[in-house]
Amino acid sequence: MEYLSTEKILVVDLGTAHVEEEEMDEALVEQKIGGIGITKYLYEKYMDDDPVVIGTGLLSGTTYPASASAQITAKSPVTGKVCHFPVIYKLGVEIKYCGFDYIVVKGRSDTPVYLWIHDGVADISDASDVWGKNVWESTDALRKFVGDELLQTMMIGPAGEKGSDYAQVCFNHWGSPDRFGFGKLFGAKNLKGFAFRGMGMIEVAEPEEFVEQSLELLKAVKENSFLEKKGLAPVLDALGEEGAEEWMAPVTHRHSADYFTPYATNTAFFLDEDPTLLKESKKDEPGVLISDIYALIEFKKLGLSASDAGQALKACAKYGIDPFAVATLGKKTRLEEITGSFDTITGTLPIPGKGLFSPWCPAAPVFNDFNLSGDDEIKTWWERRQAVAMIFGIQPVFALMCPELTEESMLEFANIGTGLELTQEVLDAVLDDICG
Amino acid sequence: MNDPKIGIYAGSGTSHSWLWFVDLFEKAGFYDLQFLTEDAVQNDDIKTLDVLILSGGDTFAVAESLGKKGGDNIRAFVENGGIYIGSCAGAYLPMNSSKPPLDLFNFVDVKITNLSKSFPMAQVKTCKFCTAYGCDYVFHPVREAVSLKTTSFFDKEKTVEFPAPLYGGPGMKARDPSWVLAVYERFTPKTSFLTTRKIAEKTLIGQGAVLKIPHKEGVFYLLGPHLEHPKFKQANQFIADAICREISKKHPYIDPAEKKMGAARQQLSGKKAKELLLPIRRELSNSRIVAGSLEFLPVQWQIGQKTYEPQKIRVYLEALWKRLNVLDKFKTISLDPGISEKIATSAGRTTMELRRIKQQIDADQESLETAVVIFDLLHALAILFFDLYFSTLSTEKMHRQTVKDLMASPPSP
Amino acid sequence: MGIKIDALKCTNCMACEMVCSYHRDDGFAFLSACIVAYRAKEKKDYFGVLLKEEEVLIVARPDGTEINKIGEEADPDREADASAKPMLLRESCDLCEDMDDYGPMCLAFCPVDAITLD
Repeated sequence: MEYLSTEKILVVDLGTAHVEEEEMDEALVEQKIGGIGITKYLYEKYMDDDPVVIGTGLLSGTTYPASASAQITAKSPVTGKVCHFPVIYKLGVEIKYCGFDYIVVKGRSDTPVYLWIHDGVADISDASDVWGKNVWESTDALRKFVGDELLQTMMIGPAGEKGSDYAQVCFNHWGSPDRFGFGKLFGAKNLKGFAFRGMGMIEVAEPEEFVEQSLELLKAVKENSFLEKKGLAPVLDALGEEGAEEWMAPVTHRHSADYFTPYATNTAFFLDEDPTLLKESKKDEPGVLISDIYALIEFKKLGLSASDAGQALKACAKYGIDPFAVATLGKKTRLEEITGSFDTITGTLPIPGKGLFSPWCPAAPVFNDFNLSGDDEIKTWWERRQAVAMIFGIQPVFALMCPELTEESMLEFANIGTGLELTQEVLDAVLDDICG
Repeated sequence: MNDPKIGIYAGSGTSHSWLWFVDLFEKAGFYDLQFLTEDAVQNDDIKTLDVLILSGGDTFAVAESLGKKGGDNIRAFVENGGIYIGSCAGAYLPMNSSKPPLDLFNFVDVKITNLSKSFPMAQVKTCKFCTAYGCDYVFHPVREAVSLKTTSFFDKEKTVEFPAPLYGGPGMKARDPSWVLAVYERFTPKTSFLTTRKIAEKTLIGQGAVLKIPHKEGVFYLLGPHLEHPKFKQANQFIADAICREISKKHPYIDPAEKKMGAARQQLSGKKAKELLLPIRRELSNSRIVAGSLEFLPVQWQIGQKTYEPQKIRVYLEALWKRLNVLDKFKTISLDPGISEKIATSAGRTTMELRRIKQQIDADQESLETAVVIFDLLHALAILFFDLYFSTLSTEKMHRQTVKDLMASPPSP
Repeated sequence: MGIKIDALKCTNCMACEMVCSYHRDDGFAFLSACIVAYRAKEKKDYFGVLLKEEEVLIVARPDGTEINKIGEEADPDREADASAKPMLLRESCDLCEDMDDYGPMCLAFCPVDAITLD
């Protein structure tokens, strides 16, 4: 698989500490396309070893607008189902440039380890220095050890190490779309997480045409008026959460976007610092970056100020626990009670639909209606849209905003980029396989 | 024509421009390369070479590290038929000088034209960049691309004009005009003036840019600009052609059947080759990652006469990394026993020191000592790695030639 | 004429870095870009853009743009080294002069129009 690919699948056996590479076969892409099409296939191939499979979308890390995401597939230790959630921020792209299209981690390590994936090398590394540390401490420690602040991490915190059902796999210092307790799965494997850094290159079959078409598509995308807005407040507003902007204003610092994503889906709160400060803060940890829309809404509904909600989200990100679970199951209304509840919350989180995709993502289109009407149509559309985004590696929230990113365009770009002839029929078959 | 045995000096005092010679020779298909430290030159490992390359850097530091022994061996090398090619600092080195330790290398009667004594002091002071040189100052009137023109001593029939970049190299006045193969003809739109145009013209235009000085059985080629710079293809070709001409004079015909592979070399292929390269890849990747994070940090190190920036670290590592990816694609790699372990160990040490310097810089601590260690390590690592790389290329080339010869005249039954 | 960056509009999406590197390499990578999304202070939510031009490094910070001369000595009393060889890892911005259809790629691809021509 020469194009849009690193040509390699990594298979790691934590039990034997053995690392193997498989060749990325073009035939697999012709059948399963990419992303969760292939992670599901790999999950089933190695099912007996309870694998965690990390994948990259076929278009991840290219000039296709919003081609930001990678994916994680595994059986949730909480729901018992095989499910998927996206890898966002800049982490998704880093995985693609680390030298492997897909990473299968099977078995269980006897001692705490983390996987250091860099430039086509996979090192099972001793995690004893970071086991017991929270997510932020772990990420900082690994960045310091490796010598690069741009190291991207996927880490569990104390919640995962303790086997909490609500343990989240976090990304760098921030919360993630994990609502499935994958943090518990990692902890059970003695897997502290992953560190990624790669400076590779991805070849494109027809680079000039790919880039030219990317620009045309981006121009069409930029016609959307919602792109005049930034950050989470307009999204909360669009989801019917009134007064979100005013509520968040006292602590809102800046907004940032995932890789190549035209809408800034992340908002940073400054909690211990003047949020109007534009210079570099002298404080080490002035705030928190938030992408979890529903967790924020739940804390708001509980009557917390935005500042307290930010503190709660920060505490959850450090502990490596799902803030939505903390908010909805804990139902505490004071910050100290919230942060004190991490080890005592109980209950089951509602996972809508077939439980395949994370409800972290808004459950309906945002800013555009995609000509949908009725709950049933929206639910069916949503499931398909999530699957498509995770096959091709599109930022999943942006996929709900932007009708211009059609399945047809994704297939067209996939073919220009790979030289293959993927068809709508193939995509439909992959979607049937994933969604059932 | 037999592959010339080329030794590239990569020891103390050199900058990174010797890597440009590596690129040039690789493109020209000259794979029989050796990478020399000052110890190798002092131990006279150069006597079996056909060509000795000395590129840019700190001329004084180079002279200091080579010392009298190194100087004597270089003189003997050329006197016995060797071809010396020196660019920039390598051109300054063999010129007559009274300033120690350069006075150990007075091999050619060539004068520097960019010397302050040629000008009134007031005019020299308009030039920002001067280095003490004996009783005078060497100054640099321009930087970047200048245009050279060949002379009738290069080719009686025609002259050729081509660009080459100047980064502190000399203008030269030869005792014998027949030594001058090319002169500085004019400046280009890309030339950057570091003094007045008038002084620059007086210093360079019409003066020697490329000299060939016969010396007993051998020859000194002195290149003022960096003809080896990768962006100047015509200039690169000039060097390659010069070597070919000299070598074919020395070895007009070699029976291909006489070519033998390095008897002690291991040949590894498939999974074994991959396993061997993995530790090297691991540590080069680790080093490269730290080097990337250092790249934009506002720190510099003054080592000898030269300023070193973090970007320079990446230059070395990228030169190795791109070739590691090439090696990965070879069916068979050819190497001296034990060398891959040495490379991996050297790369591992480099990673350790790079991580150390990153922590020092982040903590606002002094980092010069570590920088010195790192640049020494990078030279040593590059030398080891290129040995592995070019021995593989060389063996591969010999295999292909042997197959070609066999196909041309198969053995009789 | 040169690139102008509004660091406050920037959302740090790295589109500029990717397309600039593509312009140098004809594949997708980040290594060769002369424009770089600065993101080493993620925890402090401090990000901006670095641009390497012929003789200067433009540092577009949210709190204002700095222009630093390349090769400038850390010690202001000391002259830079005229014999310093160029690094050739990241070439300076040439405004994509060979890309007639696009003009500067970073400008064309910035999704929030944070990059303009001065």
